[in-house]
Amino acid sequence: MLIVALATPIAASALPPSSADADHLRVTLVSERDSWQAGERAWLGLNLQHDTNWHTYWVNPGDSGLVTKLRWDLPEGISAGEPAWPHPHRFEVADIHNFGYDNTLLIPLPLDLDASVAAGEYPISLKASWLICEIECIPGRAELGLTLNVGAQGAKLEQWEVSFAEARAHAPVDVAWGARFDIQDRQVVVEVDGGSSWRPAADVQLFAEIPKVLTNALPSANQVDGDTWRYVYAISDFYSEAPDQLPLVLVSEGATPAAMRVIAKPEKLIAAADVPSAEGGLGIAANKAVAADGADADIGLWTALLFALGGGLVLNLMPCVFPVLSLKALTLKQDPHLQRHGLLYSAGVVLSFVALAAILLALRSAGQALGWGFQLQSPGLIAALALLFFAMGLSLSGVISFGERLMGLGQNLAAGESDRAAFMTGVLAAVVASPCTAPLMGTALGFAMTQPAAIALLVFAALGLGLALPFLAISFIPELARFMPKPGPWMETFKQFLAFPLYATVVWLLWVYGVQTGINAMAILAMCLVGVAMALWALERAKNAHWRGMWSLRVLATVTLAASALAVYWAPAEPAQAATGNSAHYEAWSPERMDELTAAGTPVFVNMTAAWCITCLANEKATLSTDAVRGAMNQAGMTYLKGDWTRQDARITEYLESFGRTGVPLYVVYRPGAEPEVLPQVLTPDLVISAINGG
Amino acid sequence: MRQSILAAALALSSSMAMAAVSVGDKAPDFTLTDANGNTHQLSDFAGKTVVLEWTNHECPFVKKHYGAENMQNQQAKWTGEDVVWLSINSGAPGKQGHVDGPAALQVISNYDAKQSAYLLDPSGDVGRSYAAKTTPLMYVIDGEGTLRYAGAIDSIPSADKGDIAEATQYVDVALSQLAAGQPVGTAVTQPYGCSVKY
Repeated sequence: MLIVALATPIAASALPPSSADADHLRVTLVSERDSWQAGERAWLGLNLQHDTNWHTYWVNPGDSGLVTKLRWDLPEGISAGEPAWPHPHRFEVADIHNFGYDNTLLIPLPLDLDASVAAGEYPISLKASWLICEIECIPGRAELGLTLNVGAQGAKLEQWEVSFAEARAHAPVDVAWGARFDIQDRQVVVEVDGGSSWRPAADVQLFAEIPKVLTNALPSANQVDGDTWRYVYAISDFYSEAPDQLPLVLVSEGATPAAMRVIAKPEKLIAAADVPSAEGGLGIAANKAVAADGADADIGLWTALLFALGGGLVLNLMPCVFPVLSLKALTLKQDPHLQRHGLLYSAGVVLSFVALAAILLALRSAGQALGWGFQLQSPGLIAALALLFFAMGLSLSGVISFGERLMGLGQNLAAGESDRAAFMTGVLAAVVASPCTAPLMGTALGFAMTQPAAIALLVFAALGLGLALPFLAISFIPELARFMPKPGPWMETFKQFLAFPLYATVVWLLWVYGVQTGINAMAILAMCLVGVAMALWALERAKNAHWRGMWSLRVLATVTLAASALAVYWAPAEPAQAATGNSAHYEAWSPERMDELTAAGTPVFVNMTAAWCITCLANEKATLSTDAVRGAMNQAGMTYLKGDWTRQDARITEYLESFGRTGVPLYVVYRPGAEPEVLPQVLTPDLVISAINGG
Repeated sequence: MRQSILAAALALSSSMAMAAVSVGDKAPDFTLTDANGNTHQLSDFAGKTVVLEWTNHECPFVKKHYGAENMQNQQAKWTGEDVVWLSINSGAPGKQGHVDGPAALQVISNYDAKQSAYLLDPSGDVGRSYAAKTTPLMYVIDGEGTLRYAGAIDSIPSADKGDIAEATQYVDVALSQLAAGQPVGTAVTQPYGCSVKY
């Protein structure tokens, strides 16, 4: 510094050193570039190097402490702007909450150079004063100097490049998101609409830039409500009047960028008492807690995507997807555009999942209590699927041949070797796969439901990609297809055979429909299946008939199909109980009954199920209804509560969400004096018995 | 998820140990022993205006106001006007600034302090009942026992004695307004200083 000072015309004695060692803190004034142009904003930085465990303070220091103060001594034509304070960290000792900085960081300091500033070297000096605390506090001060070169824009100084980059990554980005606050008695409700715009890495911590409004302690409740984040804070002990606006810094470590800054305006909001306790994982109070089944409730984005991908892969083995895949496998071998069709199939799957997610999100934001599998909660869709699958089965059986016009049934779109067929097969696979909540998927979906829209869509896309992956792999690495049998006359036989899984699926759909609507409606749907069979038969016959016969057959087909559609549309929807099996050993689940039992200290086994959930039924049949499990429940004095989600039930949806799930099955064991234990989605008698006995 | 709710509830209840007091509310009563071993109960001073000053003589912010004699001058001025000025030390034994009776007397004599009594709160119970988190922290209680001012000693948060002359002395202003039978204009301010070492 001395040498620099001597080499320049400015008064060397006036310029203090650029760095100073104070108690527990080394401060250094640096310039980002070696020279700056007149008329531009020059960036200097104050580098703070704290001793371990010591910290200095942010603009709002919290319960105690003091913001670091900066006073410039600047030549004519150079003026200082607001420091770009990096977002603060929270420090807590014995219920005293502070906001500040530790370790090593740089605070970027802007200096605006007038266009009139002539090239040359300018002495800059900065008086900094701060309070540094571990538990005890020491005020510190230093006067730092620097020679600012004005001329051409120079290069970045390598030594500080990383420090500036880090500081900028942690400086809150000003955004115009909706943000509101409402002071209610002794509490403050804060809302920020950030969910659709920013993907926080884990939790979002809130820091108020001004004191005297929010308590410096953690929020007492927080909630993710669609794209809105809601926090409830106790009011500051030193609150006196509501400010016109409340500048807030939102911080999510690990996100890019790590912090956002919004200006909250006063507005009447929902009552603090109506905000549920820590629900999503916003704010550090609710963070870090792990869901009872061992899956982290706040799993990171990548973990969630990986889970979703794996879940999608597993879906390939699901009985409800298999028929579609096997259909496609028939034509795969002869396909001359293998790669393109593989990609199109994948696109079909992924886009359908994304579309589904978009619908789900739209409904979610519309405030409907919907969960995964909601498609199969709608009897109309079940009926349509049953008719479609039956028609496809008939065509496989040879009642009607592929490739003809087929009255708009989706099958036509999905069949054959055209690009459209490849894409539509993907769509079909996705639609059919959606209700099969395989283990693994539950967590990813639960995660997605609590996330901003963009992330939820990503998770669903990963799910779709997982489903499409085996197919995609074969289309790109045809060697994998070597494991497929060679084409030949057997294929017709195989094709006809493949009709049977479809018929089985139709029976399952019929049954689900029956459970949802009652036996009369199911009979009507069954009649409609006969109608479809007749219509298809008539259409096929019409191909070879003379013109009069052709027209009467076509009219017959049309009338039958129309009648079927109308019959399904007007089918009586009777209240139905999905529950299957022996009704002697369980009671219907209700939140009231749950509370009653847990309050009385009675152990409870909760089974959330649905008629269309094959995993649920398998578990009930192979595990929950066995004498061993029932005996263990009796012995433990355990009450077995069964919730039926076959049709939409908002209270069950809410219960599922309270465990981070959006689908069934869900098994929870409540034992007095113990945390509720969530069992895996696939049960074995041993596992259940050991859970019942508190193992 | 249930666990996280529980954890949040626990975290909340533990932080509730620090009770808030609000201007306009009744000031919580307490009994403490002073540096000379005499006990004082807040309600004993009914009818008089009482100032509570949380203190820690090793805190740089307390040193600022004692070193510049700002605190002693106000103590002398207002105890002369029949105001009761109670300094309270809530530092726990072994922590910075904790004093026993003889040490407190030493602090008083070193600074030539003029408070009515220097009260010892080593358990921190009184500090917590007043949500005292900083030193210095000032409260003004009127003759009816109602809290009339809460917050900082003055308007410039710094550890620099040089700032005192330019700062508004909130406590002095509040006491003047009370003495004149006026409402306290600035009744709540953000305190600044060190943390209380509970």
